[in-house]
Amino acid sequence: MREPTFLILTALARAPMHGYGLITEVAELSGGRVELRPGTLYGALDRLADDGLVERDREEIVDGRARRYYRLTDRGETALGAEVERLSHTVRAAQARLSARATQRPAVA
Amino acid sequence: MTRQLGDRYRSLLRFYPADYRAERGDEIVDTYLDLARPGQRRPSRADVVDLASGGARQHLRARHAHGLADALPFAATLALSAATALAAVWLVAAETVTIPVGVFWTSAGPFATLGAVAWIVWLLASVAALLGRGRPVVLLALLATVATIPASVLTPYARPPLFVLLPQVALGLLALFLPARRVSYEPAVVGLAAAGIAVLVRTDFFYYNLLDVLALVALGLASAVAVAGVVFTARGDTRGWWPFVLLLGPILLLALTRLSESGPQQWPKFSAAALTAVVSMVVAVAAVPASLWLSGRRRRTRCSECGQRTVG
Repeated sequence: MREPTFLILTALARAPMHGYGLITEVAELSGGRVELRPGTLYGALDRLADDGLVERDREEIVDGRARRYYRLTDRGETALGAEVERLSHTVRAAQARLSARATQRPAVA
Repeated sequence: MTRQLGDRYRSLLRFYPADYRAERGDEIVDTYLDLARPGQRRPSRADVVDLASGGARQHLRARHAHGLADALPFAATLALSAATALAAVWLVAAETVTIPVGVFWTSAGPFATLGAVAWIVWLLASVAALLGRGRPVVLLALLATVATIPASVLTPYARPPLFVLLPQVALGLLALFLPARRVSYEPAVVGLAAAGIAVLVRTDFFYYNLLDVLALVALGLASAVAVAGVVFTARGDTRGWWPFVLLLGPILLLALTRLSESGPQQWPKFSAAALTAVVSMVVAVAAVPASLWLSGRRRRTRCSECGQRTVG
C-alpha cells in the first residue's frame, strides 16, 4: 500500500470526511510531508472506491459549495488493519536491531 | 475574484472525460477554491499538472487500464537503468578509443566524439535519481543526446552513430516518467556494474564493434519486463504486462539494430537502420492503443439474462 493511500484510509478511520477535510488531515498525519492536490485525491478515492475500500457517505452544501463525504468500508478497515500490522512488525524488527546494535557497541571512555 | 478563479479551474477540467466532469467537476473545483490562498487569481502550475495527470488517469480508468499509469514509474526506472548502462559502456569502451595515426579525426578533448558529453550527463542522471531528483537531469541528458546531431553538423567534431543515439532517446523519453522525489538506486547500480564490465573487457573498441551491447541490453530489458509481467499478473497487480508494452519501442530499437546488418560491413546501412527504426516505432506506438482496446474488451461480458454486452 502506498503512503498516500495509507494516509487517506487512516484519515477516514476516525469519521467520514469530505475532500478538503481529507487533504488537511493527510497533511497533518504526515507532518506536512504529503500534500495531496484535489486531482490526485479524487483519483485515489475513485481507485479506493473501485477496490471497495471506501464509499460515499453523504452530500452537503456548505456556503454554496458541494461537500461530498466519504467513509471507510469494512473491507477498507480490514485492509488498513493489515497494513498497520505489517508496518508495526517492520518497526518492531528495526527497533530490535537498533537495540542490539546499541548493546554491542563498546563503551566510550 | 473567487468566481473568476473558479472559472479558471473549471476550464482545466477539460482534461477529464465529459461524464466524469459532469459528475465530479463541481466537487473538484470547490475543493480547489477551499484550498486557494487569499488573493489567488489563477491556478498554479502544479495545479495544472495535477488536473492534467488526474484527467489522464480518469481516461485510463474509463478504459479499465489503470495499470498503464501505474506501470510508468516502474518502466521509467528500467529505462533509466538501461540508458545508464549503455552510457557507461559507450563512455568507457567506445569514447576512449585510440584514433589510428593518419586518420583524419577531430577528437572532443580526451574523447572520440561529442557523445561523451551526453553519456556523462546520463551518468549524472542516475546519481540524481539516487537523491530522488532524476527527472530534470534525465531531460538534460535527453537534450544533450539530441544536441549531438546538430552540433556535429555545425562543428568539426563527430557524433555517435544514429543507431546508438535513437535507442538512447527512446529510453530517455520513457525515463522522464521517473517518480518525482522518490529515490531510485537501480540505475546507478546497473550503470556501475556496466562500467565495471566495460573496464574489464576494454580494448580498442568503437561503436561499430560494440553492436552486441545493444542486443544484450535489449535481452536484459526484455527479460526484466517478462519476469515483472509474470510476477505482477500472479499477484493481481494492475501493472500486469504494461511495462512490456511501454518498453516495447526501446527493446525493438535495441534488438533490431543487430539484425538489420547487411552485406560485408558489420553495422547497419542507413536505409536498413531507418526502416528498422520506423518499424519499431510504429509497432511500439500501435501497441499502446491496441492494449487499451484489448484491456477494455476483456472487461466486457455478456449479460446472461438480457444477452446485451455490459462492462464489468
